[in-house]
Parts: sequence; C-alpha cells; structure tokens
Amino acid sequence: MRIFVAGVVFLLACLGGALAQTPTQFPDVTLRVATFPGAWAERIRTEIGGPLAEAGIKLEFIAGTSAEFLAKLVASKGQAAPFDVVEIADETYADFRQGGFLKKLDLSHIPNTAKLDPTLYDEYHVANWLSEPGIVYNVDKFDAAGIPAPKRYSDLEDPRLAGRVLVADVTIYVAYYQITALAYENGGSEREPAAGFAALKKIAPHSATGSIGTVAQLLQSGEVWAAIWPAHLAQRLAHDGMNVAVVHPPIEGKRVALARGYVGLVSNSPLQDAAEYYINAILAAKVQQRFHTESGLGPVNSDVQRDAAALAAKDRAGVPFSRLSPDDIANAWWPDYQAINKRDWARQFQRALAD
Amino acid sequence: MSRTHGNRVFRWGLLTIPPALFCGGLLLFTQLVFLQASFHADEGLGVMTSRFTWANYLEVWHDPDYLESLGLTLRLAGVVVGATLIMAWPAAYLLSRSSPRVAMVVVAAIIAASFVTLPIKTLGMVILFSADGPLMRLLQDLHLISARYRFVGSFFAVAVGYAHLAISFMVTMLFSVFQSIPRRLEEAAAIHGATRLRVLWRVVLPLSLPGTVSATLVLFNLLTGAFVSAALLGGGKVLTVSLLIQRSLILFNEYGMAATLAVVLLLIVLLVNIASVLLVARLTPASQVIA
Amino acid sequence: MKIGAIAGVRARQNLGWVWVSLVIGFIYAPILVVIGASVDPGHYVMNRAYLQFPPQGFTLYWYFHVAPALWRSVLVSVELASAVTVGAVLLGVPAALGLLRGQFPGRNAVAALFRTPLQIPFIVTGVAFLQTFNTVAAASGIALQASFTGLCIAHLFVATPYVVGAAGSALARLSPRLDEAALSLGASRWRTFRRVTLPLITPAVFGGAMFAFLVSFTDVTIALFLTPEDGVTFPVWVYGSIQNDLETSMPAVSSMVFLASGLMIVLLQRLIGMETVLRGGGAKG
Repeated sequence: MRIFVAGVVFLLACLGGALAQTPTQFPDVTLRVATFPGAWAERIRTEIGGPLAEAGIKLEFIAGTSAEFLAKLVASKGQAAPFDVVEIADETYADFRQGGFLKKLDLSHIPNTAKLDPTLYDEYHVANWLSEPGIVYNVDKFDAAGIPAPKRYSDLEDPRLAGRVLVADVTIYVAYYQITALAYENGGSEREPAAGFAALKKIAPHSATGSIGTVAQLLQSGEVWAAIWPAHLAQRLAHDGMNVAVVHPPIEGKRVALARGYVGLVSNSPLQDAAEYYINAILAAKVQQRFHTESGLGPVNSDVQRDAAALAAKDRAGVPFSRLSPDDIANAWWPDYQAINKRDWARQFQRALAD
Repeated sequence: MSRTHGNRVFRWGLLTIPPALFCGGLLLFTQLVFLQASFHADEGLGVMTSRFTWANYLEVWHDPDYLESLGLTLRLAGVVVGATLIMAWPAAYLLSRSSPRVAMVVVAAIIAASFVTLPIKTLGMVILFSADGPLMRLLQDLHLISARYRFVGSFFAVAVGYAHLAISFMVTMLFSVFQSIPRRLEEAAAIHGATRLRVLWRVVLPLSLPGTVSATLVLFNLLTGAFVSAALLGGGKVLTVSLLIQRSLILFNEYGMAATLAVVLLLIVLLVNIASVLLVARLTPASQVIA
Repeated sequence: MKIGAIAGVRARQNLGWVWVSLVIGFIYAPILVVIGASVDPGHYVMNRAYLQFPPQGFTLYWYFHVAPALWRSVLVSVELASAVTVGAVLLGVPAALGLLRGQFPGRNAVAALFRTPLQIPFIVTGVAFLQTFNTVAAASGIALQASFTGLCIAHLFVATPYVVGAAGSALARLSPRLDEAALSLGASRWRTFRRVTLPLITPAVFGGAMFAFLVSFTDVTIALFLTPEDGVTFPVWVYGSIQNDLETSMPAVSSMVFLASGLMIVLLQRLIGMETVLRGGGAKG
C-alpha cells in the first residue's frame, strides 16, 4: 500500500515539475505603463505585478499626468513609442485620438470589459477608475456659521463663504466640471460658459488648486470650508475623523457627475497582446476592490460597484459619499469636451479668479 | 603671464578649450533652437507652421495677462531678493566674524536645510502659515493682520516659498564674500577711531558690494525661473511666467508660444543683470579691488 | 574702553545673535513641521491625504516602510548629483586654470561664457534643453529628452559655473610666487601643479562641488521637463505625489535625506576643514 501511495506522489511530482517547465505566456517582455505618480503605481505593482510576472510580463512605470504623456507623445512623433500603455484623462482623450496616438484594442482579449457599463469603454480606451466631482464640505464649519448644506454649486455664492471655498484649477479635469455645471445652473452651457465664469467670480474662491495634497491640507487646517472636488477626498478625510459630507448636485437631470480615467494602447507600441493582458488584469474584481478601498476612487467593475455601493463609506448623517451603484453609473453626466476650448477657458478662469 | 621657466611655455589657455566647447556649444545650440521655435506659430498638438512669423511676440506684447504676469514675476523676484538680502546680510557678516567653530556649525546647518526638498517644505509652510493655525490666529488677535488673511493663493505665500529657496544660498554666498574681506582692515579702522557703524559703512560695505551684487543677481535669476513654489502655493491666482510657460508646453502643447515667453523672460532678466553690473561699476571706485 | 561702551558692544553682539537665530528659525520652521509629521502614525491602509502636524502619536513605522519607488528616486537623485558633481569638477577646474593663468584674446568673453548659465532662469533652461533634445531626437534618433544622460547634461550646464567660480576665486588669491618658488627649485610643471597649486585650491573646489551637488539634487524645474524614463528624481517624485496621491512615507524620507546630508557635511568638515571650504564657495567668476 505504501509503495502505491509513494508511486502516485512520485508521478504527481513529475507532473507538477513538467507543468512548472511550461513556457510563460509572454516571452519575457517589459511593459511600460505611463500612469500617475505617488502611491497609485505602487498599488498596481503590488496587486498585479506578481501574476503578470508569472505570465512573463515585467512592469515598468513612467510617472506623470495625462497631459504630460500627451506632450511626450507629441514630442516623439515618428519615433519609437516612449511607453506602451498610457493613462488617458477624459479631457485629453480627444487630443490623443486627433493626434493618432492610440491603437485599436482587440476587446476579445479583454473579457473583463463585459463587467463594465458600455459607456465606460470602447476600442480605443477602457476606463479603469471613476471619480465623482461634487462639493466636499466641512459640516462642523457650516453648522457653526449657520450656513445650510449646499444643494447646488451656485449655493456656494453665499457671502459668508467668501474666501472659504476651494475650486479646482484648470490643470485638472474637475475645473471643466465645475464651470460647466455652474454654467448650466445659470442658463449657459459648454458652448456658452460666460454665466459659469460669472458665477465662479461670485463664489469668490479662496484659491484654485490641482493638487489633492493641497486640498486635503487646507480642508484639514480649517482655512477652507468647502471644496469642489471628487467625492473620494471626503472618504479619506472622514477616515481621519473629520465631519465632512458630499453633495452631488444634479446636472441636466442626471444624478451624479462622473469623471473617468482610461487606459489605452499607444499606436506604435509593439506589445499589444501584453498591453491587453495588463488592461484585463486591472479590471479584475480584486484589483478594483483594492483601488477603491485604499484611495476611495470608484471601481469600474460592476460586481465591485454593487458591493461598494452596499458597503460605501457614509458621512455622519448616513449618506454615502459616492454614488457607485451600477444604476448611478448608468445615470451619470460629464461635459461635452468637444465643445470646450481649453486655452480660452484657461484665460477666462484666470480673470474670474483674480481678486 | 606665460611661464617661461625652462624651455617650455605652457599654454594654460588650452585647458579652457574642452570646457568652453562643451558649455559654449550647449549654450549656443539650446538658445538657437528655442529662439527659432519662438518665431513659428502653433497649430495645436505641438505642430508649428513652417513660416517665420512675429505673431507670437505680437501676441505677448498685446496681451495684458502676459504683461501682468511678467510684472508679477519681476516684482516677486525683486521683493524676495530684497527681503532675503536684509535677512541674510547681518547674519552672514556676524557669522563670518565669529569663531570658526560656530560659523561652521551654523553654515553647515543652513546648507543641510537646503537638502530638504522644496515641495514637501511647502506643505510645512501651508501648515505653519495657515489662517486658522496658532501663529496666524495670534497675529490676527493682535490686529497685526486682517481677518481676511489667506495663505495659499497670496503673493505672500509664493514669496515665503521663494524666500526659503533663496535664503540658504544667500547666507552661504554672502558668508564667503565676507570671509574674503580681511578682518585687519576693520581692526585698523577701529584703531583709528572709527565706530562700528562707520567701519561697516566705509570699509565693509564698499568691499563687499561687488560680491553682494553678484550673489543678488544669481538669486534674482534663480527666482524668476522658479516654478514649484508658485505651482503649489500660488493657488491658481499668482501666475508667474514660469507657470505660464509650463502650461503652454504641457497643457496646450504650444511650443512656439512657450519659447516666446521664455525668450521675453530671458531678455528682461539679462537687461536687469547688465543694468545692475553697470550701476555697481559706477558706484565702486576702481581702487577697491583687494584680492 | 569704557564699561558702557563694552556693554554696548555686548548688547549689539547679542542682538546680532538674536537676528541669526531668527534667520535659522525661519529656515528650519517648515523642516521641523515635516519631521514632526514624519512620526505621525496616520493610517496603514487608507493613507492620510495630508501632513498631520502636530503629530497624533509617535511612531517610526514610516521610516521602515518606505515605498520602493520613493527609495529608487532618492538613489536616482544621488547618482545624478554625483555624476554632475564629478563632471562639473572635471570641466570647471581646467576652465578656471585656463582663465586665470592663460593669456589669450577674448579671455573676458570666455569667463563671461562660463557665468552665463546662471543668468538664464531655470525654466528657460528646461524648455530650451527639452526642445533641443526633441530636435536632436527627430534628426538623429538619439533620444536624450527622457534620459538620465540628457538630464545630466542639463544639470552640468547649470552646475559647472559654481565650480569655475570657486576654483577661480581660489586661484586668484594664490600668489604666483609660490609656483615660481617651486619651479626655481627644480620641480616640473606637473609636479608644481600637483604638490603646490592643487592642495591649495582643493578646499575651494570642494566648496564649489558641494554647491554643484546641491543644485542638481534639489532641482525640480529642469528635472520636471527632462524626467528620465527609467527613474524620476526625488524632488520630482515628491512633487508628483503631492499633486496626485500623497505618499505617507515622504516626510520620513525627507527627514532621512536631511540627516544624511547633515552627516555628509560634517564628514567634509572633518576631512578638509569646512572653514576653507566655505571661503571659496559661491559663484563669483
């Protein structure tokens, strides 16, 4: 009997050994991913670096913002691609396409897209995180000053809030949301943003920033009482004990403003298969869950969204900070970037901000 | 002064050739490339027309926002250099005249402080100077500053950031300037009956003037080109030319305009440098050089 | 001197030291905040999005759990600054020797040439080098715009003047009689240089080299434009992190870098005598 068992074990060991010799799926490639600096890239590395390495893909990260990556692609036109996978922000997508910097993906190689809402992907870009610009405000400060909770962006024009509201700078996508939303609330639109800039001037902002570190620091120090910023900031501040809440003013009848961060494949990259493998990996439920848990950003995978909505962090009144259910995602709003002239908006923004 | 000892005349000048070629070559090449870019209009996404045009320069000339930004940049640099000079001059002088041990420790501490990267120091400044922080609350209670005081987004905030960038350099540069002025001169003047103040005014000041001006100019140039403090502390309201250049390049991919702004800034900075040097030459009698 | 005069002198000296303390206080205040924030426990899963000062607790946890990418960036910065320093010395010392001992037409112009990089604002240098490297890449395929080499070249451009200035000042102060004495005693030119000149200017060169290292290590403006593909520098990493996703171990790493630089300076002091190092520092041509 013992000999029999030993024999089986021996055979299994040989089999295991044979399986371990199987060549990796990819022939030892280095995939260069251009994504955000800071803790973000580290999360990706620790979460999928291992499984990808087993498949033969080594990850290398290039740090920067979407605009910087676009600038790099513009500068290296006609030469070898500086990276393979690139993080694409909503407002730069049109420029990426216009410049011909993106290659079509074979979506059959990215099966996890089945878990995404159809508005979150197409053949050129696939969303990998979501954020929801809204009004993040310090409930304690508002209560102490007797200011009612804001319901619309225009409510921030309250004179008691002069110099106490932080707005997003033109260097970050949230700026386009705030101006467009203010424009719509005052009878304008993307094509006629004048009303939005006028409203911004009436809000008399404290300042404008594109840096989450600054927003967090100013809210925490109490110098600023409200900020027009994505909801995940509130989640992190509440985690530290601040009494914050988020307002998602409806725009054009939609319940929540949604910003999407995409990934895409650079047009003259030779690593299409590896890139598609990577993209599929970051759409996986476990990875999306981790992104959400650690940074508060919204998951794109609808399985995770369902759980996230149920377990969503709530403010002290019991209202969730983010609206992440698949239903909310399907009922979301974003600006029509085609109608926005960035140069012009930057200039008008500067004027509206001047004291 | 060629050395003619022995039969060989050593041409020391030859040693200058490789470094001069490297620095000079880089200088010429880089300036030419970006000067050339400034004469081409942008078509978006980094594409520039192939026609030579003055359009970019005309746009800068006629645009009040650009001109205001230039003025702001120069004002900021000027104010901060002035304030840093006032802070650093007495400190550097005192250190140079104190015991070498003490001076070494203090100057070493100041240099070590520069190794803390500026971006994270600015977060520290945001905390220190916050309107609701203990320091500013105190000043507000004492009615020394208005209740509408805000830190981030103010001229003061960017100035504080710049000042931190400049002060370490200023103190160490002025320290070495004062080190090169022999103490004997001051002692001699004192022996002849001059008061401390007179010694400073008639001996130290004139001798240290060229070095001080040189240090001031180096820092002025540094500050007109500084970017991080304005980006993190400017709050979108204090738009220095460096921010405009960065936006042109990265946000709008307009290489021509970015180059134009850079050329204009450079010209103005060079003018300030030349004017200062001429002014000092006027004020310093030729007999003052003591190596 | 009368007692009153002595007391007056004392009072003025004390006032002077108060002033120095205020200046030191100004310089160190934000650093103390950063060090204080580095010992704050924060949270281990969902990091604090801001620096907490005063710290709510005390822990050295973050000193031992630094994000690997952050360490790598510190290494990149050290490598870069070291390369720049060596290069600046190799370029700057011969240049200073040639300028101060040589006799050739246009000497003043060449001296001014070496001072010029300090007259160009860093933002202009950054843009100019970026566009130049792009042009070179488009014409020849050699990609310098996102490489360690390219950034090294740009930093060399702005750091060499410090070494030229420092070595130049030291050489200007040297009496030519020292050289003549050695030569008249039969020493060869090379030996004279090595045994007489070099030791006398070494402290000043060290001072200039230290400035070069500092300029390269702490530069953000130029490094932002010319970020190497395979590794960002430390200040650029910190800047990016503040913009996007605050990394909790940053204050700890900054504090460690600060301590390390302090130790390095003390070491220099022991090795060559800081006093003479600082005598030669600065960028006067």
